[in-house]
Parts: sequence; structure tokens; C-alpha cells
Amino acid sequence: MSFAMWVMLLAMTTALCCALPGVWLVLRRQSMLTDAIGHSVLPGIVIAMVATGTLQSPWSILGAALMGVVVVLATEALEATGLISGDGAQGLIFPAMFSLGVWLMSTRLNQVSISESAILVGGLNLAAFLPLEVGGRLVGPQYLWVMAAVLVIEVAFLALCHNSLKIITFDRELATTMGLPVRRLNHLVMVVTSVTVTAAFNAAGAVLVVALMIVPAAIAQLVSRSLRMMYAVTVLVTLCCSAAGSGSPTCWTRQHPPDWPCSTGSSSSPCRQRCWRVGACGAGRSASGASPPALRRSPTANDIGMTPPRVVGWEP
Amino acid sequence: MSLFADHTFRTMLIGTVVIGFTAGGLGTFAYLRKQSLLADVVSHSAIGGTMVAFIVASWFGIDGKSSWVMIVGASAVSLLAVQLVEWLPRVSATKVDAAMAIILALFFGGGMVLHRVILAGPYPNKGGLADYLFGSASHLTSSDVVAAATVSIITFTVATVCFKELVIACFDGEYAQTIGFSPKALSWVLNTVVVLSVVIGVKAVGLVLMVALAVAPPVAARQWTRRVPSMVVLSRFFGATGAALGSWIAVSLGRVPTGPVIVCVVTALALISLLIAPRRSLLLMAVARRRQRPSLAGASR
Repeated sequence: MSFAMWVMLLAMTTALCCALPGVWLVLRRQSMLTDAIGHSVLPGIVIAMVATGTLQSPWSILGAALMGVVVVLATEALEATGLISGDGAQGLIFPAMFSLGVWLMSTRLNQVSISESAILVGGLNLAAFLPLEVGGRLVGPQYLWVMAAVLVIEVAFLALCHNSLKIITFDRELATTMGLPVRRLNHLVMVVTSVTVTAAFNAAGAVLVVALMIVPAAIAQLVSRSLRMMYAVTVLVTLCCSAAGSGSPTCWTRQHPPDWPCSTGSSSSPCRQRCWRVGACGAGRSASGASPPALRRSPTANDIGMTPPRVVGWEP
Repeated sequence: MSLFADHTFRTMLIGTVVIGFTAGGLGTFAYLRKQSLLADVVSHSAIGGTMVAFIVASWFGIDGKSSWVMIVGASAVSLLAVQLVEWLPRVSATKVDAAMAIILALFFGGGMVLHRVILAGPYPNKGGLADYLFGSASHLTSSDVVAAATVSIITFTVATVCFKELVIACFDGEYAQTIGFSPKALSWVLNTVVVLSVVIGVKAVGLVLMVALAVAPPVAARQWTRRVPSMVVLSRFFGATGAALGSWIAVSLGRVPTGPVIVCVVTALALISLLIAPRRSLLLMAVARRRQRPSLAGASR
């Protein structure tokens, strides 16, 4: 397989990883939590990168993700004091953590090789840069396997806790009456979200991960009547959009100089948002359960024609 | 003290103080409406507006990086974003939190794509646009400060003239409607001043971090007072103080970006206020709880 194909596969895995917990976040009305976690894992990521030298080892992902969880818990504790109204607690904590991360990066730890815009939008092609070889055979980027592992863990969690999650989301009182561990499950959802955001950070960055998590689920919410259908639509939208978003720039390879900066991550995001707009206009009001009009592609993503880098060792 | 003789530092100090002063004051209204995260949407969408404004200005041969172009473009696009956030939950099944997340990512993602377009295209003077992501207070020029101060005075005047109306709209929109104010007009005025106050800070503090300057000062101010007028004044004071202290620390440390330091200082001010302010602080609550414990234990016995 060529580099571009692996990148596309990586884009699809990453997007799927993000979209699945997104279903619950949208249903629980916690969409902005992804934004908060996406920003607050930055100090953890910088520290983990300095400690281990890479963000692709599972330990550094876990360490940085714990940071995100701690921040969410701190926000909850601050909200519980009752001194801050509305979403103020969230708005107070996460910019501070993010600036701490930027501060760390700029001072002592500036050997960390993350560029500033990569923090915000990630670099899908760069994430796919390191190849993994097993017994002399190329089996794709290392990062792909990290994301695949996260995906497996996630699916296991969602499958195991499906019923309890459903009760907690739709009827919290019932869940409490039934003796379900409501708080612990809420925290588990946050841990899973945080691990996903951290793992996807390389490819999608702090802000675009919000799009990857929320937009497919929000489209699905518009057209589906059951949880099962919502899952199905989310997966469908995610796969179509990430394939289209990462595929479109590669078609342009021959027409543009290859040393262009590439950000497939940022090009696939507006693409999926367009899909969401179409879904909102077409199916939202009628709610007739029509098939999601998700395949219309954004011309903006196409026009730019960003190319992946030529990577030595990847050419067949 | 020798720092103050330095022209760059003076410009930076005045600029950030104006920004902190404005964002702190107008952020109070967003906070009272419990829409603090709307400031986050505004600051992220501002990047889209900045890029659009840069491209349009280049067509007309104007310098796309002048602060007026940026302020006008960014506030127009951010206002659109805010209106969309309010509109979407009304017409579809999407909830307001999802609407915020979607619009934020849409406008931000669009801005980043446009940034690539600009970098690849034949636009003059296109370097340094990426500075808007994290801000660079040391790059503030006198004309930037003048523009920020002008916008600040405009928002100040509007907020002072319409003070009563805005406060009513924040606390009880239905009552405002009953006594004859158009809720739509009030919401527009409020959104416009909030957007303007956030947008002027994007160049200096950075779009990701401007939300802190709109949220932390009101949180701190709320701890020290019970009345809205004094809360606005205090919040402006905290915003300005945090900005001044932050720029001073950043310059003294050297090689540190100013925006993040300002945000850390402002957040620290808010946390300290939460901890020790009179009447409603965490410390007082803990003390009161400890005092009551024996009497409660005695009563139950």
C-alpha cells in the first residue's frame, strides 16, 4: 500500500475513534467538554513528550490523558462549590491549563518538536510518518496501531457499559434508584474521552478533535430515532467524510509542488461540517428518517489541493 | 523601572491593559447570562474572520494585517458564529452545547484552511498571520493600541448608556420584553459588545486564550461584591491588573509568550479570590462547616 492509502486508513481509524464516544457526549449535552479536555491535555502532552521523547508510546498517552481527567475533576469540584455560575468553571480552568502548556513548550522544554499550529490542528501526514515493521514487513504507520488499540478499548468499554450508559444518560434518577455507580461511570466516560482526545492529538490537534468527536454524532442525532441507528449513522458519516477528506488532497499530488505544507486534518474537518449542515437543513425538520445526505463534499476542502510529503521508504 | 522607558514595553503594556480592561468588563455580561463559553466560540471563530478579512483586503490592495481590517472582519464573522449558535438549537434537534462545538470547529477549521490558501497564494505581506493563534503582545504597534483603545471606548460607552437594559436582559429576559424592550435588539447589542471586546485581544493574547480574559475577571469580581455595577468595575480592574502583571512577568522572564502568562496571572487572581474573598469564599465555607460540626453532632445525639 502507498503512503497515501495508509494516511487514509489512519484518518478513518482516528475519526472513528473520536466519533464513538462523541455519540454519548452529544446525548449527554457535554459537547464542550471535548474542547476543554482537548485544551487541558496539552501540559500533560508536553511533559510526556519530554519524559519519553515521543507521544506515540501508550504510557505517555495514558499519562497525558490522566491530566485531562484531573482537570475535568477539578472543574467539577469547582462547580460543586456553587461559587461559579453557568459554564464559568470550565471556561476558567481549561485556558489556564492550555497556556501552562504553551508556556512550558516555549521555555525550558523547547527541544520538543511540536509546531504551534500543529497543536491546534494536528498533522495527519506527520503522524503517519514513522513506519512499523514486523519481521521486515511494513505493516503501516506506528500511529495507526496506537489508534487501533484505542479503538478496541473504546469499543469494549462502550459494549460492556452500553445499558448502564443508556440509563444514566436518559434517566439519571432511575439510575441512582437502581444503584448504578453513576459518578464512577461518568468519570469513566471522561477517562475514555480524555484518552481518545490525547491519542488523536497528533493527528487532529486540540481544536479539530472537537469536530471529529461532535459533528458526526450531531448529524446522526438529526436523522435517527434510536440509539442503534445513531451509532450506525455516526459510523457511516465518519467513514465517508474521513475517506473523502483525506483522499481529496492526494488526488492533487501531481499538480502541485510536493513541498507544500499539508494538513489533511484541517481539510477533512470543514468537509464533515458541510455534511452536517446539509443534514441539518434536509433532514432535521422533517425527521422522517431519511438516509443521511452525508456524501456531499465541500468544495473548499478540494480547492486547496494539499499534498502529503514524499516520504522515503514509503514508496513502493 | 528602566523597563518603562522602553517603547516596545510601554506599547505592549498599554495595549494589554486596554484589552484586559475591556474584556473584563464585557465578559461580566456574558458571565451573568451564563454564556461564558460563548466567548470561546467568539475567539475561535475570529481566526476565520481574520483570514477572510485578509483575503478581501488584499483584493482591494489594502494591508490585510492592519488592525482595523482585522477587527472588522473578525467581529463580523464572530457575530455570525454567535447568531448561528443561537439559531441552530431553535430550528433543529441539535442542543446548544453541540451547536457551540460545531460552530467553533467549523469556523476555526475554515480559518486554518484559508490560512493555507493564503500561504500558498500570491498575497503580499502574508508572514506572521499564524501569530494570531497564540498572540504576540510584543508585536503590538501604536496603531494597534489606538484601534484597541477606540473600540474599547465605543464598547465602554455602549455598555454605560445601555447599562440598565443590558442587566435586565441578563437576569430576566422575559421581564425586559414585558416592559417593552425588544429581546432581539438587546441580544444583538450584547453580543456585539462582547464580540468586539474579545476580538481586539486576539492579536495580543491569541485567539485560544482570549476566553480566559473574558471569564476569569468576572469570576474573581463576583467574589468581592454583590452588585452588578461594582462587579463590572472590579472585573475591569482585575482584567487590567492581570494584563499588566502578566506582561511585566513575561518581559522580566524573557523568551516567554505574553498571552499565556497573562492568562495564568488572571486565573491565579480568580482562584485566590475564590479562596479568600470575604463573605463567600472556600476558606470561610470550610471554617463555618467546621464550626457547625460539633453542634450538629450534638443535636443528633
